[in-house]
Amino acid sequence: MGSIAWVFTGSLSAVEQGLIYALLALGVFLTFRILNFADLTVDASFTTGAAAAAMWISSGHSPWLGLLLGLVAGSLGGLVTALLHTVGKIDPLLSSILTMLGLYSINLRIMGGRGNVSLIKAQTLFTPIRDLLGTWGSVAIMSGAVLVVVVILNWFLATDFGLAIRSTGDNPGMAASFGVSNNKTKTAALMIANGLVGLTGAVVCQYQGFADIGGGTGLILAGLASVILGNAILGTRFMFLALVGVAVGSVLYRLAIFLALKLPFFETTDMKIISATIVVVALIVSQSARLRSMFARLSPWRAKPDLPEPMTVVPNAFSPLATADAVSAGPETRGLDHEDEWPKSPRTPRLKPAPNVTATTEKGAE
Amino acid sequence: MLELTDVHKTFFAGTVNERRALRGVNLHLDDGDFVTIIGSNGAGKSTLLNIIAGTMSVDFGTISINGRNVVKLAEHKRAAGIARVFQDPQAGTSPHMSIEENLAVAVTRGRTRFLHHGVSRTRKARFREELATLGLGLESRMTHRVGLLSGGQRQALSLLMASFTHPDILLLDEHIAALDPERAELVLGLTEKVIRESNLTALMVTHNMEHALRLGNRLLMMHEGRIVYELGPAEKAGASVDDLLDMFASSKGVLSDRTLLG
Repeated sequence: MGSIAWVFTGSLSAVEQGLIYALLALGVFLTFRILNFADLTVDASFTTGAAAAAMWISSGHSPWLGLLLGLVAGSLGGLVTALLHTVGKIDPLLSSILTMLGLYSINLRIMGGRGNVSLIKAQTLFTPIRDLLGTWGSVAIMSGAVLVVVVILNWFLATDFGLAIRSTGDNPGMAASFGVSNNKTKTAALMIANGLVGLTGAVVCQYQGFADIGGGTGLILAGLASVILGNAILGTRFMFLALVGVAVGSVLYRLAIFLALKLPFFETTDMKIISATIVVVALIVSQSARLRSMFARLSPWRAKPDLPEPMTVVPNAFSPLATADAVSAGPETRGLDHEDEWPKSPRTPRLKPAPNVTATTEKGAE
Repeated sequence: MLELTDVHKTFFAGTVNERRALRGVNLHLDDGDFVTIIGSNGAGKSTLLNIIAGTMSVDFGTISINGRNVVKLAEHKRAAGIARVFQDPQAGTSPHMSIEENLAVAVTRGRTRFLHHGVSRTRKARFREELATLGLGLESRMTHRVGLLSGGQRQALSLLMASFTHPDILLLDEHIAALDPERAELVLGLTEKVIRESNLTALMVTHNMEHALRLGNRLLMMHEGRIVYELGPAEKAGASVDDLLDMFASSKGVLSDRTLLG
């Protein structure tokens, strides 16, 4: 019994981290899933938010305004990516990588040329609740804060403008034909998403007591893993559940890393390879038909689609809400490598896009 | 209403693949005109609709709507007055959004979208009413994702989404070509009803000459980027499919001779 207790010592800290990084994961959900935009700006805009907040707070200013500053700084990073893509007509992936690269220098400038800004002596958000950290109390407070963000996003995505963003991600041609300016919606979504990421940076630097120039490295993967995990568990049938799932996924991701580091062989320096492995496993599980159906059977609380879904779209891994559909649809929706898909084995029959699969229900309705 | 003057469009200009899709098209539509367009593949029918909608730019010529030249206006801005239904049933709707959410995007056509709740109670009531006119039972499935619908249902929904805000011009690009005969007839019937009841100005591209004759008050035949025949209301009422076939044959003859001589 003693050894089990030892394994879980400090797991609440992992939950806390998961809840904080849930904000980042929600940002990633917004770009990767809702907007269908592979945005790698995250790695740098996180640090931009952290750097801006850390410089502000370390000079004795309000930590709450520091949050706002982080949010604005992050969203400006998103704006740069958006402009490169919409005005510069540069591919999404490339424009975000360019922003990421350029922001590194900007981040160093913000931090006054130092690679690390300490907040140990400064008054942060966490100073008043220092004693609560690592207890259920702080977990409750943070869950509440994340829930507020989830509720706001859920409301926003159901407004006229939010629906326009979703239609841009889902079918840009259709969006344009109804007067949606795809450039405007993309810009807004990228700014909101990276604003959330910058906000995460501002919280994290206060949580850990410093901002580091390399603090954002690999966070896009953490966000993506949270999105994939969360959507696999809670589905994407309902936007609210999808958003909650992303937060849950973030917590699970941090717990998985935490527990892996407890294994005898691993050292703290192995964190990156563990993160990478978790993402690889999540990706493979979410794309393998057999593992998926196993997983679906194992989780009875998963939101089930209301009808057998005739897949009329072949999404890639980044397409909006693809993964959850993939749970119910056939191997056609494996994603990522759909360009070289060819029936390799007779055991995996290819599901042809079948627009009339629901013909029987339709007839009934007629 | 809609006026096209000497519109030219060439693809891959200056290369071996150069294709002159439109070679000086002139077209005038009055309010309430419903024009059907026929013509062989590559005649420029779809290009014509695309340049009116703004999906493609013109090389030369003007397009004016209600007296305003819209040649330089972006597609999403023209969409305020121009609605489209595409050939591909998947093109006109958003598969991962619900029926009511799709309708909410459609109902805000041409308006600035703010933070108003997309599927408000009043809108929902209106959507239910409008969906009921399709007679497909979709009004009881409003929260279902559009990706779950069959091609015919999606195309009927696209048609509703395109038309229920009373656009100035409705463009139908072979919108029933991908459907089986039964559903094609259903969507065609809905098309006729919607255009008649809302008195819309519409352009419909089709490969089915019987449809082209049955629907609309005017008929255009295109060939190699030009409008080669035009039937007004009186002539169209008296024309038969055989007449159209004769026109086809003669237009080909005329044009190939002209090409040879030119």
